[in-house]
Amino acid sequence: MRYNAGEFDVAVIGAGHAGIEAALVCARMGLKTLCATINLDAVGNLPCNPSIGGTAKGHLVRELDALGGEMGRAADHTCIQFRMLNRSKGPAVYSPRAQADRAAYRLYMKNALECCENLSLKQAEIVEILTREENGKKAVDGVVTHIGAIYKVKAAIVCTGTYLKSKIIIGDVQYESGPDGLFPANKLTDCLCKLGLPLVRFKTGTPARVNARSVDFSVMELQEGDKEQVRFSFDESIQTKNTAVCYLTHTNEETHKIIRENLHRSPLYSGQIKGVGVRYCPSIEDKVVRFADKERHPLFMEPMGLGTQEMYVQGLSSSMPEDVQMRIIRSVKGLENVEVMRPAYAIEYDCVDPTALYPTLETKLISGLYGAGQFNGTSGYEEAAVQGFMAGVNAACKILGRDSVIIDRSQAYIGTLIDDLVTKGTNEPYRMMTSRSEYRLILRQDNADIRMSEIGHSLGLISDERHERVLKKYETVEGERERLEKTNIPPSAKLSKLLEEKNSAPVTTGIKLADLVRRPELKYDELKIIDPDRPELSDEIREQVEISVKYEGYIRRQTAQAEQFKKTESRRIPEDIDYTKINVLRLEARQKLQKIRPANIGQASRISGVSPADIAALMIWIEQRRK
Amino acid sequence: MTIAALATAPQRSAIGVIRISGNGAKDVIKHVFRPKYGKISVRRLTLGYLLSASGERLDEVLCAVFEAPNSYTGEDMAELYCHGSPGVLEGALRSIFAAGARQALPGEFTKRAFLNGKLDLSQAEAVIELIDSESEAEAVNAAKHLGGTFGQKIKSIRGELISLEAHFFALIDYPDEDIPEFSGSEAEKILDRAEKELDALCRTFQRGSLLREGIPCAIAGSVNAGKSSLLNALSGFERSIVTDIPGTTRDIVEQRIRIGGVLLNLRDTAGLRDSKDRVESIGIDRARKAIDESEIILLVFDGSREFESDDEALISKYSGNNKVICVINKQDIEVIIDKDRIKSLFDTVLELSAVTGEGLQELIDEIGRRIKPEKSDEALVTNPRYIECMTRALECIKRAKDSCIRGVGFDGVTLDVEEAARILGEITGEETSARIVENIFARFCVGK
Repeated sequence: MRYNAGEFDVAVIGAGHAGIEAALVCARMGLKTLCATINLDAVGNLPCNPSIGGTAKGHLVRELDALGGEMGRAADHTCIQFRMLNRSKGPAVYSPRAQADRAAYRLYMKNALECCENLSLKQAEIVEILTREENGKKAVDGVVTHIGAIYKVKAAIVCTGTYLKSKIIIGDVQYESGPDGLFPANKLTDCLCKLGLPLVRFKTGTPARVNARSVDFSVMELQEGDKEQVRFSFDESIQTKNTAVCYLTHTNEETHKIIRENLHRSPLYSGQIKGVGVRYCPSIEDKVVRFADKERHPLFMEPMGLGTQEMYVQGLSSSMPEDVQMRIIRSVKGLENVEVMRPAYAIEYDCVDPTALYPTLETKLISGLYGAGQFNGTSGYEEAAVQGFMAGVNAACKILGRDSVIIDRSQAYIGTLIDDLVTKGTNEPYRMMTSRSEYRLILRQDNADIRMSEIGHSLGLISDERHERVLKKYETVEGERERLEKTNIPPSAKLSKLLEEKNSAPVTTGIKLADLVRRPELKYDELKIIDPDRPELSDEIREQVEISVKYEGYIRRQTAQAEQFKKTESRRIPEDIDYTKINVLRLEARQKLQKIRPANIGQASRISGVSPADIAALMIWIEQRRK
Repeated sequence: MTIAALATAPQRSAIGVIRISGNGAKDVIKHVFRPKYGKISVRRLTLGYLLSASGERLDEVLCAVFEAPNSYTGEDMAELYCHGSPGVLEGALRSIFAAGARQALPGEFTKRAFLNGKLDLSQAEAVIELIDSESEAEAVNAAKHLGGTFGQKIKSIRGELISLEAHFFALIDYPDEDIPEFSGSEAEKILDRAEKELDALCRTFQRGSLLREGIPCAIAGSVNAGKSSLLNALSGFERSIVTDIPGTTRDIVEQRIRIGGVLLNLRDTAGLRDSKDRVESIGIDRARKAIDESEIILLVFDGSREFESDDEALISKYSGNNKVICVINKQDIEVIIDKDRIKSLFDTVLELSAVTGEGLQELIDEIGRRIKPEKSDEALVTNPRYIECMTRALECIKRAKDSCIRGVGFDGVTLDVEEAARILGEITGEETSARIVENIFARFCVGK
């Protein structure tokens, strides 16, 4: 029996990383929000690696934090080890990563949702999305739970992760299930199909978990966290703890031999797995087959939390039968007597072809229906979280009658991620990578605050005080930068000595401080001894000063490119164009444009199969129509 | 972005017009044009010199500058009215690209004009057709060109750059994996190789345009040595095809012929001798200049007479010059000249009769041998758009190499490498970012 259970502005389907951010932002923007999840104890679950951040993903988390999202703070609060990766590779690619206490993270997030005004967190499987006709288009009208409760809503955000018709595969054993023994969501898929959304089937996988007591760490390499304080959040009051350690070991010839001898038992190679797998997340059998000449592969032992002995074996993802998995894992140094608590598995699930979405993450087909996270064809907690946030913001803006918020490629990795998804689509779970951003020297993790704060502030998600603080910080940076450009240092014994020590070219006449900072071999901090007038500045500010001076040339060039980019991005395309009727376009261009329905000329030009001549013709056609 | 292109047809004509448009148009003019008198004034014609990228005078030209919004495109614009020699125009475009402009795409001036509200709708419709047809022609052209050695070379250079990027990103994006460290000297080596290869390709441009315009070949000799009859003989020879109407450039008669598929620009020069006649002196000076500019010099002696003082002057000037093919003409009459002496002074000496055609085949063969490209697989670049792309890519590569040497972080270095790969991708029409990602997964074993 169905019954009317009440009314909300927005229903968020799922309380994983996308759902959490979507629900929080909608509620914080003042909307009455329902967040429904299959199991309340799995809110903010980390079903795969127990870590947040990493390369490019760390950028996403920091951008999200600067916008007013929750993930950064949650990771900081529950972190048990923190590292800044790529420290030797230049500031543009520094990447923060935290090992999180999985149970604490879930609890933190559940509590955050529970404490949020306007937000109702409910354990319920949503099985149907109700629609009504509105201006000749379907629009979201309500959601239905598996026990028949109907909630009337104006918008729904699908954040179903890997749960849609999910199937777990371990060797020749397959069964319907979500991750960690949770129920799959089987019915919603049928509803989405009926609504006409193009669904695809993707595959991902996760390695085994083992009991730390059965591991011989004495033969492994210790991996400690950073000595200095690192955090995701720009909120400096949070202190991150660095209490846990990881260990490194390797596979060996014996491991590889076992894998090769049992390949016929792998569902990947016997054709049982149909979903499209991830190249950047290959199983150990993939690695051994594709990189046959590699003698060993690294494996990391990562703790799942402080209150448990369970450990995650990074690098040993597999869908082999359990008996083969046991032989594989026990061939590894230090894991000879290991006790496996959960075997590795592959998981297949339904998700949407993201080109069916607008850059707001609203579906083109159904007004008020949004998608975020793995449902949109991505992979990773961080990718999911930023999409959840952006889908939430745009759903809220639509209901509140405000302009939509689209972050572009020149502003943030978030913009790059969403633009790639909705413009180019993806044929495997999409992972954020540094190389995907063309503006990575201006889109650094360290300056995410100045890049995003304005947007967060205008949405009411960043307080005046916090926003002021960001502006003040960059004023100070700019002031110091100017001082360095203006201050001339005369030659002196002290300077000569410093330059000699650092193997830097000697100075005969005077030299500007900024020119010294620009020398790759000299560091801003080291120049303090010849710079008596230097003001006392915080670590964060000194870092900004150094980067902005050292990379000034690159930054200037990228900024100019970004401005150029913004020009085409600001040329909006009317939403109601029927491209099939534009005869001046080539047929392929017409079809592609009709499918993607780009929001502006810039986006149109990034669609593969649309040529510069098509763009010119399109611009002129639009102009003609306008007149 | 400032764009430039030839506005008139790319062929020999009285005047060739180059059009420049964009924010940087005035800057570009500052680099490539020097007024003969005074300053450049807006919307007036200024006489002056067109300068090559290295600052040499290419031509005496008229220049007009228009300020936004009062111009055809509505942007700052400039037009240069040059002499219509394809060589000059190509040099001018190269100089303009070096000053910061890029080659305009087909119809781009008109597109800009339209977008700035300078054209009405009916005009705009015509533009669409134009853009369509031109870009199609261009595409066909490019496809042909890119199928060959040139395309392969560009692809291979670009492939190297992408591999370099992929290696860097594999390390960055997968810091936990066993990926070999990225060494600065390794990167430098790859960049150095890319630079050299690209540079060599750029240099073929010069030769490419020579091939297109015709390789200059002067016929020199003292008065009445039979130069004109040799020209006529070569032009009328059955194996050489006359491709052009002879044009008289002052005192030099030019004739284009094709030998072994290569265009040759034969130039019959005034007889070289000391002259008191002012008008003749001017002609002789021009002849000398034409001879000096030539790739091949046919030095003609009249075999039917003894050496004269003018011949002696020629011998002392041109002996030892490896461009020279010595021709002893008038074999049909009695040969009196001291052949052995000529043979001792010049490497290549041929005997022939321009009148009977005797020995002409040997001369043609010799010319054919000399103008054949050095290597048969040599990729020749003839499209100014390609040269402009390659020049920009080369700059990026040089900058990246320089950064490597100075010890700048790889995060900075790779920006230039990526930009270079992207620009070369404009030639081959391939996307770069996706290729880098693919390359990472193809080459490195990464993942959880």
